[in-house]
Amino acid sequence: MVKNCYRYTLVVYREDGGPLGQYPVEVDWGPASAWSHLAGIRQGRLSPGGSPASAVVEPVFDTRSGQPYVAGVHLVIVDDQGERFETDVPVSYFAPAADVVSEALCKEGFLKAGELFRYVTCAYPGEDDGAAPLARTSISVEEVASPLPLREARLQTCTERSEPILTTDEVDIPVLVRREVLREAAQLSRRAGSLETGGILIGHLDIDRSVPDVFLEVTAQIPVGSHARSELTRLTFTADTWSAVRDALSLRKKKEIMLGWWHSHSYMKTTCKDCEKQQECKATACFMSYADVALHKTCFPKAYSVALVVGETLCSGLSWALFGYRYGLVSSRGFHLMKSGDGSGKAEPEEPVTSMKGERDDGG
Amino acid sequence: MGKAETITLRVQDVSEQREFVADVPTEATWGEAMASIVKSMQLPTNTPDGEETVYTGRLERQGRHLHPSEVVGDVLQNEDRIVMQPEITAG
Repeated sequence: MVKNCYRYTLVVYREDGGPLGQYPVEVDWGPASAWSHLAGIRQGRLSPGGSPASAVVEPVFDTRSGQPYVAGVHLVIVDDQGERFETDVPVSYFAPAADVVSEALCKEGFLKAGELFRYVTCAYPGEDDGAAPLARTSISVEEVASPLPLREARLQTCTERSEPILTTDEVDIPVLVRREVLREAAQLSRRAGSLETGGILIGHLDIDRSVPDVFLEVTAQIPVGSHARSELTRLTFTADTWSAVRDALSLRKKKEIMLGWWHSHSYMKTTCKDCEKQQECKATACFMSYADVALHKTCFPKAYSVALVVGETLCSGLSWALFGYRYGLVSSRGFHLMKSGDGSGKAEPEEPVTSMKGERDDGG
Repeated sequence: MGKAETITLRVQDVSEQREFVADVPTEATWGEAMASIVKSMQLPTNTPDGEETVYTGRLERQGRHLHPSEVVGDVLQNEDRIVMQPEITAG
């Protein structure tokens, strides 16, 4: 539970500066707190075996404009071993809240769909809104503090066998993906035609205490198969999908864990097939929709989780984009592609990987 | 010896990234228990489009899904591990 003693509002303006009003916003500090806890472990300031015990969030007021204008927020994390870590989260954390406000303004007719707007974030002292207890029922439920499932490894050894795909932000957890994961995802995506398909990314969460840092190694993907419902612009993971994934993971016996998921966006192969602008079109299918972000937050809430999107369009072909949590927001990011090998000493022919910066993420 | 009034369940989210301990009355149905557990786990109950998100509990000991009408005391044992599996859509 994150302790917060401020009320946050957004002051919204049209693009030309015309005022639209001031609106209170509800902010979920959980993802920012989880990300900050992981950042503390990565920097060697919090114990890898610890779990967050408490967190406090406070606004960082703009140095030029002063209160109540917010330039970011400051988090203080204390883990269950008494260790403390502090970090700042940028004001872009309020972007999802701004989306909610703008949607309401559109519904009320104050903004048109697609119209640009500006906003500033303000904070005012208020009551702690993180301590409200849930209504008492006869069923008691408590979360169990669970340390990260870390495996000892050498980051340098892994990166020496890999090539960077897009630049990784220095605050992002390093992610190494085996080439066969992308290859299999591409094959499955093409086999599905224009319909969406996907799978679960599995592998290891590693720690290199010599750096120190924590990083991901994505070793394989488990396809959703026939248990998921594939449509042109939707992919539904059912209870049977999850059961099949868990069974497959168990059968591998490699102590791998679920690190995230992947899915394809190939609908443009149908919607754009008669388009005359294919030569000049720059449309990308590598984005995370609102539904995709919601699925990621629901099913993969831990700060290290990642999502891969395989996009294919008629004009730009097939490409990949990786997304992960940055300051608690789902954001496009770079990764390292590990060279493939069949264990026989002979490397498989390397295919070029086309990747692009994803779009329409959580705003981070 | 009388039947215990509650049993303790180990509940995980679908990716096993979060774990909860739930003390559930033996006379409750799984549907009643699950509604309370989903709320306590702060799992979303609606999609961004406003549709209901349906959860199914998978009983790891038997490798099957629990039916909402099953009575907790009849089908579950102390320390049973259950995974909350959502039917959820990417777009």
